[in-house]
Amino acid sequence: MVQRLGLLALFAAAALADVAPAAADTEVAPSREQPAPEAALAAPITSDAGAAEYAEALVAAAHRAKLHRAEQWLRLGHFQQRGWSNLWFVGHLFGKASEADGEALFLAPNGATSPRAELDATLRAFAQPAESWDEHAMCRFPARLLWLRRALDIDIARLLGQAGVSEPPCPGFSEFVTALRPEAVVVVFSSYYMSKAASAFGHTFFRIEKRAKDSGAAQPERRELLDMGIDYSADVTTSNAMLYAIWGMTGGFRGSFRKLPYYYKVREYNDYESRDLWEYRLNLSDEQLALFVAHLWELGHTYFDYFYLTENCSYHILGAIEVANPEWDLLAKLKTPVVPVDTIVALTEVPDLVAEVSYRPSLMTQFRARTAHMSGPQLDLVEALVDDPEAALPASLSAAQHIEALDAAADLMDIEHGKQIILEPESEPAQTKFRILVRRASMGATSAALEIAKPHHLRPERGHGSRRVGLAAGVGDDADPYLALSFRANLHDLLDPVAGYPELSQMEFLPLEVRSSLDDAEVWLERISLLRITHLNPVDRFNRRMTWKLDMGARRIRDAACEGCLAASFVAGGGATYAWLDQRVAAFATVDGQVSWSPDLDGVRGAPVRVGVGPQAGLRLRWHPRLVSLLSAHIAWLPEQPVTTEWAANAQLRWAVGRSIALDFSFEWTRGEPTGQAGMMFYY
Amino acid sequence: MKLAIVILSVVFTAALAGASAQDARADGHYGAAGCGLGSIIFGSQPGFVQVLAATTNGSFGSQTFGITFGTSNCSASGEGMISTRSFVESNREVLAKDIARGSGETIATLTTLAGCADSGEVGVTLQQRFGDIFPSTAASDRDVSQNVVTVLQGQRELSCNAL
Repeated sequence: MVQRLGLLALFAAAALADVAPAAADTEVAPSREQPAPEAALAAPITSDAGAAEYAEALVAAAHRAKLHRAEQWLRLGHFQQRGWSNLWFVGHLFGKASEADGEALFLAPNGATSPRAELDATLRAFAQPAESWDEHAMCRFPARLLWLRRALDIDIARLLGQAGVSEPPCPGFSEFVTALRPEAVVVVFSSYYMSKAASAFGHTFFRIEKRAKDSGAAQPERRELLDMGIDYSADVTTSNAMLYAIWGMTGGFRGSFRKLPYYYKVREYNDYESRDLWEYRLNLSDEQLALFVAHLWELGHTYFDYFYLTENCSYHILGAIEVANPEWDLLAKLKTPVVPVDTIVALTEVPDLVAEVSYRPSLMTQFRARTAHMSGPQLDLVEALVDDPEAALPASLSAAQHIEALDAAADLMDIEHGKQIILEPESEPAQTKFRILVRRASMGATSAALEIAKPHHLRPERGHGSRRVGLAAGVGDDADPYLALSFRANLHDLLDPVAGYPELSQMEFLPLEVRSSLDDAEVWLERISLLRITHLNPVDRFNRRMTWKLDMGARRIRDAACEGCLAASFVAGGGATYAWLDQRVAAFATVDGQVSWSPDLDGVRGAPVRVGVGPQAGLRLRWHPRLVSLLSAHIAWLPEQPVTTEWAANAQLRWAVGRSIALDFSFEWTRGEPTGQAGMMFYY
Repeated sequence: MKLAIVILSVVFTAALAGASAQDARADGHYGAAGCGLGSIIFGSQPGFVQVLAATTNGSFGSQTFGITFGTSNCSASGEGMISTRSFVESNREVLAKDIARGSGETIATLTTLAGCADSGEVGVTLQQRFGDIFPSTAASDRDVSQNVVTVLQGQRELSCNAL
């Protein structure tokens, strides 16, 4: 009991420290109530024979207690089974290895592959001298110290060889704890960002909630913007796109943990990318919180090789939480590839782990809330102000309505031109926004806070599973009946049940379909995509952004140019979408370009390449959140090719009968040959 | 089939390269120093890297827990407290809107940071002095933060005791 009071005392000291430095020059000043009296102590610089002897005794005790096999120790070192093999009759092959790739996390030369050697080295290093306290093993590994001293009942003074020192002072670490002043850990999910292809799958990071300043007031002042954000991200070291793609997939970048004030994250995601943030406040005991924060300090000094599909931000966020309580087996819940929503699902599946879910609306959501109740003339005024900040204010509207229009216009400027306004203060948008604000300020009156209800149906963990398999049977006019087995690694398409996902977006990684003829048992790959993204972006008076799509993969071509060959194919298109009735009805049209290649293809001037361009149009109807239909048709002209056009029309209906099961019906007409297909899909 | 996979990967990387050409633009003078949003979020690197950096949740710089925030540059390491000035500088564009409106989250946060008594009064005061705080779009972040501090200090009745 007594042993862990030390670190908790440090937390308490941090809680007392002031948020704001008092100096007029606001350079960060060291907090005044801080360091404990022991801070004056010099670090042990000579080795102490008694300490070393005690360390050996502790090592022996640790072996007796088999601490190196304790789940907590394995979590602290991020040890996982190495290799693919896990044969039931011989157990794990190849032993364990740490996922951490930075040497800074290990004290033993073979620490990354031997939990036992690392444990021994840690206990011995605790008794070793160091140049300064910050370099001392106890200060570099506060989480290990916290756990080991509890497990082995360690006498710190004896281990340090310094009588009366019950706690190593660790100036660097206590500064970190002071900056965090941790009270709670919040996992933040930054929602799907369709304007950047690879952000389409979301992002997760931590907000460390600060203990509210004890001002004696009845209502403690909690300011989320002053909390600290902890992010795990890749250190991108190249501007070469090809290298970026390759290294991102193969672990060529280092990933590391960083701390940054939360307001940077809010500005970046909420404002400049207009992404809603969902926040999951975790229910940690004081001890778990102390262990977690101490471990963050250890993680902040090492790195992991970053793998975009597996060991990514979401993976290591969970790995860090797991340390707080070995009973939470969070990483084991993840699938491959790891997507951020699965992190949230893993957290919410642990009973009582998530204490509270809160929501921070994006700037776009705020703008929609501001304009939702506005009358036609008021909306006209918002539009006029963005064009001319000095536009006349119609007398038919009240002063309060003028103010609402100015407030909305200022938000619209940031939505449309946020980056330019910051980077180019002399630019026209920056001037326009400035003049809107000058005019708004001159009118006085305080704008009421926006009331935005939590859109619970958009909570990411309420959505269908991130992976999908499907089994269907189909029959055509000419073709044999066939069975179709489909799989999709991630994540969502326009027909899937909409809960938890953006209504008009499709972001799919590795969808594929394999078919088998029922007559002759022939099996073939019908289609596969590496990445398939469609973003239907409804146009209205305040949003003129494009609808776009992208599909990289391979498909079967069935016409005179090539009867049934599999062709590598790249399709991209842009256009516009109009939506009505709260997006229940959406009509879209795009112009698409395609390039396909197959060795057997009779294409452009005899080359095995097909190039085409042409329109696509579609109508999506949401009858119910679980019942969606999509009609679409496309035609492409193929210039200078023996086959001059390609066309198809599709009708599809999907009905999610449960949270993880859907029925799917589709009809396709192409070259006058209708094909029908019916099947079931499972989300998991 | 193997050939198709090769072609597929070439198409994929070519697509990324295309995105690179489209987005590459450098903002030379930002990023060398400063904790403003310009340097932290948009950085000084070619657009493409930032776009993908954000997309793969990448980031720039190799500091880990060294990142902290002094008055107007990010190079100072150490204590890591958020000051009134660094907050104003990093949240300038949102704060400008909130000051014009006389209320909002950044005003409440500023009230706490500066140790003022009542955020409602702070909002009203700052709104009245909008023109003094933001004389033009060309005013530097540092000037703006100085102006905020001056206005708050000048109004005794706000009792901002942490400035």
